[in-house]
Amino acid sequence: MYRKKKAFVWLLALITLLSVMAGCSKANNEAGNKETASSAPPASSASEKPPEKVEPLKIDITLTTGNLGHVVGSPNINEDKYVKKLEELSNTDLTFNLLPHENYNQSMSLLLASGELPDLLQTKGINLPEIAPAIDAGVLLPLNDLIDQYAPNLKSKVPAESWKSGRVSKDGVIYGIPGENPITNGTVVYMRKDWLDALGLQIPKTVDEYIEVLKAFRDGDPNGNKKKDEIPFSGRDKFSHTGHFFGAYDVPLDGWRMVDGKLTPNIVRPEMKEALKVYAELYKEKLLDNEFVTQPGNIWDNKIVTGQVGMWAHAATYPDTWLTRLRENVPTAEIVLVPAPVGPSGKPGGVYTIGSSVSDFVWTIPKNAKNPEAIIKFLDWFYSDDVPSDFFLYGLEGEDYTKSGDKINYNYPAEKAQYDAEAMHQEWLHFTGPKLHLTDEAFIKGRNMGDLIFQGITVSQQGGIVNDGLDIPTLPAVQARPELKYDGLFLEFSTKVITGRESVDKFDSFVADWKSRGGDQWIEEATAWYNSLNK
Amino acid sequence: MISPTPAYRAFTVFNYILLSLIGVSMLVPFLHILAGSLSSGKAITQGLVSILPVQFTLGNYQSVLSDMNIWKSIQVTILITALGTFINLLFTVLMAYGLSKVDLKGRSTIMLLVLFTMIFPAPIIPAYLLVKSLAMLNTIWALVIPGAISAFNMIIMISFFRGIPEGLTESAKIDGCGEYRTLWSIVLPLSLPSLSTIGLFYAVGHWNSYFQALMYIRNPDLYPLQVFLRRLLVESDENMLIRAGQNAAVQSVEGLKMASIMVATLPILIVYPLIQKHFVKGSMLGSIKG
Amino acid sequence: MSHPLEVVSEKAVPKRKPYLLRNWQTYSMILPGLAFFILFKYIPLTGSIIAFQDYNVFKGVFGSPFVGLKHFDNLFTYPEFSRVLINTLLISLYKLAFGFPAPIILALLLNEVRKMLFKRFTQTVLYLPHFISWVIVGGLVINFLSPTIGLFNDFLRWLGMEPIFFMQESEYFRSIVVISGIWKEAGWGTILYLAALAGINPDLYESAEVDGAGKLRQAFSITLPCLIPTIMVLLLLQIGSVMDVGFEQIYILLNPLVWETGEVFDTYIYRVGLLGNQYSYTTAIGIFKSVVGFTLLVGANQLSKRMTGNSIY
Repeated sequence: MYRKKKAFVWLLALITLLSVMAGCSKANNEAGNKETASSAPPASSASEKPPEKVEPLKIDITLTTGNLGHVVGSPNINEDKYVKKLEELSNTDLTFNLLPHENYNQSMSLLLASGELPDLLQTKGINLPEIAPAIDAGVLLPLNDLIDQYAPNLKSKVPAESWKSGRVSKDGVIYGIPGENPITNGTVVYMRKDWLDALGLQIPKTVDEYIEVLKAFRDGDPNGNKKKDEIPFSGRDKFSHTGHFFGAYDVPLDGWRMVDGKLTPNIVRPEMKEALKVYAELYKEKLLDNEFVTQPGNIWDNKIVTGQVGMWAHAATYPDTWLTRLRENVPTAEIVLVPAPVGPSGKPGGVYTIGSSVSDFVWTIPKNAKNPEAIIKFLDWFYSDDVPSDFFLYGLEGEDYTKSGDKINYNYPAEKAQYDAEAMHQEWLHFTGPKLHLTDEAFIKGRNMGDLIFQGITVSQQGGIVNDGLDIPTLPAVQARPELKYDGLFLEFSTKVITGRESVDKFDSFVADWKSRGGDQWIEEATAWYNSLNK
Repeated sequence: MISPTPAYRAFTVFNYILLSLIGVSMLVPFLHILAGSLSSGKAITQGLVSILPVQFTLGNYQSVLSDMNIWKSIQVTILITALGTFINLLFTVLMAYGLSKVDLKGRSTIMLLVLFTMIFPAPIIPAYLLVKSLAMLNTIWALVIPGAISAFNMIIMISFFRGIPEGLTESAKIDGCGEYRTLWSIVLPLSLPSLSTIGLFYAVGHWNSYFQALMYIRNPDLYPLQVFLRRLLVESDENMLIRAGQNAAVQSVEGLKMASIMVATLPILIVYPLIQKHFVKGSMLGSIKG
Repeated sequence: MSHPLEVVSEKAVPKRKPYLLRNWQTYSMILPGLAFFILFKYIPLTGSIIAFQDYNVFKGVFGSPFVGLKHFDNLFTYPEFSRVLINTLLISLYKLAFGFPAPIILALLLNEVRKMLFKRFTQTVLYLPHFISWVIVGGLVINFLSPTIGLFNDFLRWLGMEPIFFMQESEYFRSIVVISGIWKEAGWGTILYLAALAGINPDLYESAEVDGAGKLRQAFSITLPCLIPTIMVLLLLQIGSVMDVGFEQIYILLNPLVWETGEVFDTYIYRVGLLGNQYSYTTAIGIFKSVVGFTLLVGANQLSKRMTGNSIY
């Protein structure tokens, strides 16, 4: 036994020794690879266009994977075929440092704390809590002069409201180059058209008409199985994708409105009381899925896809996937994308507020970047006339599309891997520039069920509620009292009201309490911010 | 041995029934996930799967295992589990044995110091900067060194060492053995249950390593298994979820998720049964008599 | 026999070596571990000072402004502070009262199983839930308690009762947390106790049987007393972690209708952290939690020393 134990220990030690050696060499290999990749001779500035070949511009870029399948699954993103093509077309040598999508905020904080900033840093906005201190510390370059001198396309083609956004500039100083977001109101209402047809119903417009339709869904047995098992309207926890009736009363949960000279969050405006009454009725009448409070996204998705739900809300660009999956379980299903319910004001509603013309990502240049002028020119190139839009829109010639003369034959994606690849060249590598895949009618209609998608985008763009507090930063009052946000005190109160545990008349005392525990302070700070932005 | 009383026999029956019921309640969810991983996407979506596969398919496993990256991450995980557990046991056993001596001067203070670190964890940014300054970022070492000793495990180890009769260590000393010799020849052979247990705890910890990897590792080549697989589970971006449903005929995302759970869990599950033989009663039999 | 007048020279008597040198082997065993704790635990721990600052990532620890107890004050003036504190302590208390004995009882029951195959199989099955993450288990719990498709409500309906929407009633939340927690972790907890049971000398049982002690008597006079050291250590450690109630579990199961009984410190920290860059405030809350836990641990340690002779330090 003793001998066996000795042998076992020697074996363990041997395994460990080998592991250590493997680990060391692996670690050194990785470190070695990284070193050769990022240490580079200074790039030559390509100011004029000399006739002979120019050195490719070396740029060190840090950005998030965005959980994009193609990026996450790639063994080495710097060797990826799309990356290589982009480098070829733009005459650059790009080195990508990836931040994981999970725990993104923490990764960003650690990156900033470590002080090892790249030449080009992707952020979600310069006034976000992680990035804002960088502005004050002077870590990110002001870009006004660089844009004036080297980026005529950016200057003329990026809309003024994008430059003005709090996520892009501060007190008139531009710190970021925005990505483009052409679909500002992205969420739309989906309905089962076959249910409407079965019951002989018109598409509803007003809140009352919506309620009538929902009641018909509940009682009329539109799926024809002689059971009252239909769920007229289903939603998700935290009111995610459930807010169309807030929109009808001009109070989408994430929005602000200027009222009597004060920037006020929608959750404490008087109109909210009316919206809550409607939701309480929907819940009581079982028109709204009574499990929505605890319902995570995948359960909600499952209910819809198995045909139990009559109305829901989601992104306007995905009716094709919804219908495909729905038809697997209910072959005769039809869907239609409709405007959100209109409230007493008669104005168009919305599931959410109208979003920013600035996309999720804003590109900044840290002050230690090598050659910022060339980097600005690189970003300007995305909007220039000779930008290879075919690459961004269609991908690689021969693989993703073929050309016969002037006509392009695009292989629209049909499988996950193809969708991931499409997102790669249309979004991930498309740092800025016009997002044709979201605006070009011919392209959109070319997709499978493209007409439906185009219908969805058109409908969604007609609606939406303006958010007076668009791109508002995280102000000190809410930093001290995070429960002031809509997912805190309001969520608790409204859920109790809607599920019948609390009377809606308590709303006024709720607002008073909210204001006294920091809400007033938040409104003050928000108003000051709004006024400074709109001087 | 005296024959069991009727009361004891009744108790035994009751015991077996109770343990079986509890066991079944623990087994059922696991079987459900296993069944789901072997079922078609359609069956899962329509809620047809309970504990047996419906529309049996190996497609989910094919999908999960055919990705080259998963094998790389399995390699990484095996490496950090083996290396990490070895380092853990080395440091923990040494320190625990030293601190198991009740009359050691300064022992109380050191214990208090160790305990303090267990209750007061260090904030993330300073911990990260320390690892960075030691040039361990983006290496395997960041995953095995900062966690070399778990205060919890070490304290338990001390308790086990104290359970070894002093007579044994005394007689070793009389024979002229130093502390190291005593530890190696007398104490460790008698500590197999505790070594296996603490070793298992550390190994499972390494196997499930996720947050440390997310924080310290940037290089996809060094991502351990859990990071790789969690990406399929935590679909915070529902758009991904929907796009993936495109080829839902054979695989649904749910099925893929379940298959990845199985792949992530099965290897470590079989470790315990393998070491169970060290938990036999009476491993100290004959030690004092001898 | 030495002459009574012989003087014994002092130099012949060897001087006693100092304690440290005498026990150098023992101390040398402790040294590497101690160095580890100092380097990897205490040095980063000094970063906790950011709880007393308005920490700025760029100014670093040395450049960020000092604000004293501002963040702690902010915590104590949080209007729901007492609710969070009570929920945290109560859930911990229930987990201690019910969750702590569960693995012990299970281990004792398993110990009485003679058929090795059944024992091994059951042991393995029992810890399966430990390996399923709360993301999945939480979903299973919600499903199980659903008023429309949940098995538990099916059972209630069979008994003739109305279905209850358990997850939405705050009075059930703590029980749900505790019971699901026991289900998930009790099996894994038996491993330690089984290891401890394996170390008990079987001679003790034999002589007890010879003396005529029944199985129950043996359990109380041999098994339990031999387990006391292990039990006390684990109990003290759990008391020290009284402010940590398992974030992932609670977060998954929580919904606004049960915040009354379910909001705990870790979920509040999460809410704060969602705003981004709240390192000072979240660190301050963490320090408060640790202070409470440590104080209780010190107290319990003293108590245990006096009552059972066992303690951690």
